Amino acid sequence: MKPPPFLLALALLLWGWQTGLLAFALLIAVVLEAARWIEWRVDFNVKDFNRVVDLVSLLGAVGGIYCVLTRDATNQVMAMFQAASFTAPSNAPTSASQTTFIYLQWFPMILFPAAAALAYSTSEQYPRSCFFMLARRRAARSGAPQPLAPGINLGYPYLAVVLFSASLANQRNEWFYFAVCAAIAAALWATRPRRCSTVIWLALLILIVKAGYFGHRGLNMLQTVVENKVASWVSSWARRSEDRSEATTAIGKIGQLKLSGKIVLRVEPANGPAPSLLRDTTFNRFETPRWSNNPKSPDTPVLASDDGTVWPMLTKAATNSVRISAFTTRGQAVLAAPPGTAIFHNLPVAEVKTNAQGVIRISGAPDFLHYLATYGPGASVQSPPILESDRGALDLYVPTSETHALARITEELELLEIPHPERVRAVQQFFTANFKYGSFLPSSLKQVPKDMTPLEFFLLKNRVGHCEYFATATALLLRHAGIPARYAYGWSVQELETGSNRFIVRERHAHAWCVYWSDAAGAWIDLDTTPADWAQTENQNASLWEPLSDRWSRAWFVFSKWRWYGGAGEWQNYLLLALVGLIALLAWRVLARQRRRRKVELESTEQELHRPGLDSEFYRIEALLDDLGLGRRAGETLADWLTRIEPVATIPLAPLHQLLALHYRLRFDPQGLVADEREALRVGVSAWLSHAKPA
Amino acid sequence: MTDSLAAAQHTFRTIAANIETVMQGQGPAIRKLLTAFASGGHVLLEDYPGTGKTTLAKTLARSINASFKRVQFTPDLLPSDILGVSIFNQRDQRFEFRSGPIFTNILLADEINRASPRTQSALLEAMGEGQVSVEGDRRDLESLFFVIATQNPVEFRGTYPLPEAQMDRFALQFSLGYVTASEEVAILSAQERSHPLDKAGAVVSKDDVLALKRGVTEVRISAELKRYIVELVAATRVASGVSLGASPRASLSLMKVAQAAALFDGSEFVTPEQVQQMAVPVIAHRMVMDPQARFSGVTARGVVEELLKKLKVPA
Repeated sequence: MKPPPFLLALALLLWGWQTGLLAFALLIAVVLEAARWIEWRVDFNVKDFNRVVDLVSLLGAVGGIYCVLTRDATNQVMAMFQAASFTAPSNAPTSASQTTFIYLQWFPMILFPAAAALAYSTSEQYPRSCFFMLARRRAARSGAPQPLAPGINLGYPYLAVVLFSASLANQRNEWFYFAVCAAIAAALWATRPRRCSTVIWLALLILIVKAGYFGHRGLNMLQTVVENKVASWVSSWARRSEDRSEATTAIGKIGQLKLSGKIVLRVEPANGPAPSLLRDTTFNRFETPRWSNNPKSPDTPVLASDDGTVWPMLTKAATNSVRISAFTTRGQAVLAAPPGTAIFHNLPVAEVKTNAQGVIRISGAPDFLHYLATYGPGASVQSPPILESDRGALDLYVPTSETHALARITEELELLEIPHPERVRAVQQFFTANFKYGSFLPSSLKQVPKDMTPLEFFLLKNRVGHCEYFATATALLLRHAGIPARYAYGWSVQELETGSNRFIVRERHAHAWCVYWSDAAGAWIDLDTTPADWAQTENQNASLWEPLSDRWSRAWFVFSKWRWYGGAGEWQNYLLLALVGLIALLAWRVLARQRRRRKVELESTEQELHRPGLDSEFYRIEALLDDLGLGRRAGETLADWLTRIEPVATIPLAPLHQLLALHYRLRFDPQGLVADEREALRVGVSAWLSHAKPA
Repeated sequence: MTDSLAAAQHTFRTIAANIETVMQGQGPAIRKLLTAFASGGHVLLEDYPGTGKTTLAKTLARSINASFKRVQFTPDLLPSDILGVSIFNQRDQRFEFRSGPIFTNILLADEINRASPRTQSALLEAMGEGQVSVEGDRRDLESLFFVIATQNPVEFRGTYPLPEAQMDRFALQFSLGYVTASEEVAILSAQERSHPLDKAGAVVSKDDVLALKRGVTEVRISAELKRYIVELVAATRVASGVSLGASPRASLSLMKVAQAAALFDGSEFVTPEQVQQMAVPVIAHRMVMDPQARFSGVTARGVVEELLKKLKVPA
């Protein structure tokens, strides 16, 4: 059974439009529909069909691998294994499902060879056994030929796949549903039972389309409701997001910080030593337990110089440089950069934006970045401290709830009596001498007296905490002592990769520290008061998978570098070429054997079965009745068929028995019909047809 | 229609009409029986007791002016009880052959599965080759030799089921089945005072029957239908659930029976309907089903019917 003309082509165009693969859609549509006018056919045998199915399977596999390699799903899935715990939030599910969606959108292309082979074959169907390795093997083992029947005609299944793939583009157009409905209705119209009333058929169709429309709208609403619920539930433990307007710290929470060992950055010093800290963003306002930016600073775009891969951030002298490799998510990322970065090289992105907090946001990036950041001491993209605004001195603001503890420490250290540079050193010494790092937060918040904030408890009593405590406490203490300070968030560079001069930065190396404004330097200076042993403590939480995943990560890094930067930008083309070659080879093999077989057939003396009377006019009657939905079944003889349909037919069939007797004699009596009888059959059929047509 | 064919068809119809006076409501069964009879095959009737198997056989025998014998098969029946035995004649001082019931035109082998395999095989040689070997001598049977065997599908105790090779000797196997209530009432009415069988006499001669058999061979069949028959039989060999499909002998029987059926229907050539109608009784009993398929309710009959539906029939 073939779909009606042009239906497949229209469905393919819909698919092409939705998925953006219009060129492929046009090509496929033209090839498949042209089969209706092109007489050329190839006589595929079972083995050829096997081969086509194998090719399609191979295409499916290659397409799948390609899809996985070019999407960041692999990263995300690997990260899932590297995560320290199973509750750690992961992008893997969404990323993997996106990859699957993309892959499924390619299905009309992957299945195209199978559909085209059928369109240009003499056979109407694929032997079903082609699709099953077991059936093939069983046939091979038993020595019997692989069964040709039952067969599958790919026409409608292919149409279904095309519509399904079109829907996966998920453009959410209002009319998409109706377009799909129209395509399905056209297919149904071609196969509708002709003996039933068209009005009833149309009414039912409209009813079903309406029901389907409201059904899917209802499902959509239900999904929105469920998604909102889930989102509000999940967001409570989502740690690191693209939003840099605020950062909720774990201050005041019980338990262990859980961050995975996934490698997020690779840092390779190009000139000078590697920076120990890579800044991501800074915050200026603390309200327990959240750091935020107030007011939110607008992003300002950076102008690229020459070819769009060089982005000057600041005009200053900078000599140190470092190469950083990172992955992006859907072409967007926030760059980790050494403080005081003046210029980025080798950064092929569409847009770079920065703001007063020093966030460097990029968009339109490839999945993998391998850029060179040149940096030097002095100015950075961060704005100078805001000491005067309509909300007061933002970079000196201390929440009132913390002032009590801060005042006590300030008094203890006599900070206000010593000059500014000394104050910083005193604060640093204070933390080094009296505090310990503990990824374990106070074992129970019950120890914290009711009238103390967690930070106060940390400063005055417990003196054990993680980097967020240290960074927050340091920033607030400096502010209390009159030095503008901010809370900085980024990565600590400390783990040297075995066997190279590259540093690797894992997710658990995410770090927070304090930056203060030095009037002497005229710049924001990093001040990391967290005891240096924090990384060792954190490393104890490494997952058992880590050596394995590190190796994978390294291989992936090498591959990504080659894929995006290694001059192999054209590798997809090679893959495409290989596939085209494969298809050509297959086609050549099929056609070559065809020629050989035709030769053999000519030589062989096997006589074609003589089948007289195939030109009988009676078949016109059969075709007409078939059109009316009264078709004959495969194993049904003409006489049995007439007997069966006689009670349901609206046209009188009684005269057909006489014609059938003639037809039978023409077909099955080796003596055949004499000229008069042959004429009688012809005339009889025409008479019946002309009588039946108007009805 | 040529004269010989017309005469043959007339013979056919006459016998059928005669049998129908005795066997009410069994038109299709009579047609099957007669087609087997006319095509030179033998018939195995498998049905419940009391459905008229024996009556059918006896009526056929009566309708023809031919000899009829009946053997009731029992476990202690010996081959000599069927074939005959040589007896020493003391007066002539030599052995004399007393022919058994097999030397007849129509033989009713009642409850054939009750006899031992040895006795069954004695009968089957005769059916297959039209001759018997007794005490080393080969003796030809009558030129008109037709066996109607019956067996009872209900009782299995004390029976020897016929092996596949022997089942293959029967051209057709079918059952009569129960008639409708109104037909059963008609049977009661017919037998109120006397059995209609008593009134049924011979309507055709042995020569007529031999002419009928010749007539069957004159029925034409196209190459395409022969191919269809072969395809159908070959398909039973690869069908799932079948451990032994039908033999080429089945194809041959099906062609002959279809020819006879065509003649019965008044046609000079075979049409696809006749092949399809005769396919189940000709093929099904020759197939051996997989034990597993049998347990899951797949029958040979079902397999053939399924093949008839699936296989593309010439039209």
